[in-house]
Order: sequence, then structure tokens, then C-alpha cells
Amino acid sequence: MKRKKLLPLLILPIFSASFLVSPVFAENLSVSLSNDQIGNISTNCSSIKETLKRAQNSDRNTRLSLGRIYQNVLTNFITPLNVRLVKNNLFDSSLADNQSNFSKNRETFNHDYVTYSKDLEALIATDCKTNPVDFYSQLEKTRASRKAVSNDIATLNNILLKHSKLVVNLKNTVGGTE
Amino acid sequence: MNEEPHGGRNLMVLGLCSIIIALATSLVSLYIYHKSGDIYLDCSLPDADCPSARSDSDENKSGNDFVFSDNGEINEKTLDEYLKELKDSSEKLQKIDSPFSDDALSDESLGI
Repeated sequence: MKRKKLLPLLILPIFSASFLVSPVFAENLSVSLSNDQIGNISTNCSSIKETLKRAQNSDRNTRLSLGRIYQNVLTNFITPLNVRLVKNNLFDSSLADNQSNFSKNRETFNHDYVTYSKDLEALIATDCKTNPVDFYSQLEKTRASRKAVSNDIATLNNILLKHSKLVVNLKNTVGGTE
Repeated sequence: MNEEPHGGRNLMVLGLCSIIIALATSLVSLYIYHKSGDIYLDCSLPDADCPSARSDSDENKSGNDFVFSDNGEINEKTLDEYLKELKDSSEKLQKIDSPFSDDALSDESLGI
């Protein structure tokens, strides 16, 4: 009886550990690879891995710098301006919409970066020497998720540009009424 | 008829259960840490090379500490100051050279 009681306690950690070791498989994307390319991947496998690791470190720093600037712009500029406008009975719906847009896209950027990081990590973990086709499939997937991050940055920068233009318009309006 | 005391064995079972529970909760925490993606945003990891995250980095020293107050008037002068400081932040963004461009993972750069 006591053994039966202890059984769930022994199963729980094994069950939990199974989450940690879940394998990552490359998706079956339509990959067109020449024999030369397959050969290059297998031959240059170690140097490719080194290049990917360097890109991983560089990307981590870039995300950190971008994340810091976006956070600063949102909390020290955009949000207090909108609060101040409301307090002065000058609520501007375009600026408020822009704020929620910026905030939403910043979340998307973080989410897409995490997806990209996971894809890149899976790519680095894929054995390119023995599985060059699987490696290239995962590379294509990683490129797509990297593109998503790049698009998020372009979107955020455009929102910021639009915000500046809206503030210039506001300044002209305020200046005209003074 | 009287049951023998099992103090020693009970203590061992208690110790074993404590270890198992600690192990299980640690594994669940690690799973959540990995699954949530925090592991990719964490610069405190030993293998994470995030120089800009260090407190003594140049980026932090020259950090923009301007905070637009949410109190006060809205006039041309305050908005001018706002735009000037915002421009500084925008320029910092422009300084980051083509972030997440396609080149880093292109066939050419990887030698494929």
C-alpha cells in the first residue's frame, strides 16, 4: 500500500523532466538544395556553427539595445505625454491610438524575438555534418522568424516616426491658439 | 498487538519525499523559464555575452535619463523640448546598424 502511495511522487519528477528533453525537429519545408550545397554544409559544418553562434551573441546585444530604447520611449515619452494631454483637456485620439499601437507592437517584437531565438538554438543544435538537408530546412525556418523580427523593428520605427509627426502637428496647433 | 515505532524509517521517507518534491518543483521552474522565453532575454546567464547590459557599459553611462513629466502645461516650448529629446532617442535607433538583416544568415555568409 505504501509503495502505491509513493509511486506518484516518483513519477512526477520523471514526467516533469520529459518536458525538458522534448526534441526539436526541423519542419519539412520545401528545400531545394544542390549536391554542391549539401557538400558545403557537411564540409563547413563547424565554421557554419561558429558563424551562427557569433550571430546569436550579436543579436542578443542588438535586442537588448533596441528593447531598452523602445522601453525608454514608451515610458518616458509617449505615455506621459498622453497623460499630460488628458490632464490639460487636450486628449488626442491619434496619439492615444499610436501609443497602444506602439505598446502592442513592442510585445510582438519580444514574442517574435523569442521565437527566433528558439529557432536559432534549434538550428545550432542540428547536426549539419550528417543531416545537411534537415539543417537547411531549419535554416529556412530561422530566416523566416528573423525576417519577422526585422519587420517588427521597421513597424516600431515607423510608429515612432508617426508619433513625432503627430507631436509636431500638435505643437503647431497649440502654437496657433496661444 | 502494539505497533512498533517507525521513527527512523519515517524520517527517511520524509527526507526522500522532500528531495523529490524539491527536484520536481525545480524541474517545473526550469521548464517554465525555458518555455516562457525568459532564457533568451536573460543576460545574467554565464554564457550570455551582453556587454551593453553591464552597469559600467558606455551605453549605460550615456543613457538618456530624460523623463517627460505627466504634469504641467502643454505649450510650444514644452513640446519643443519633448521633440528634441525624442530625436536623441530616435538617433540612437538609427545608429544600430541594420538590425536583424538577412545578411547574417545568408548562404554567402555561412559559406553554403
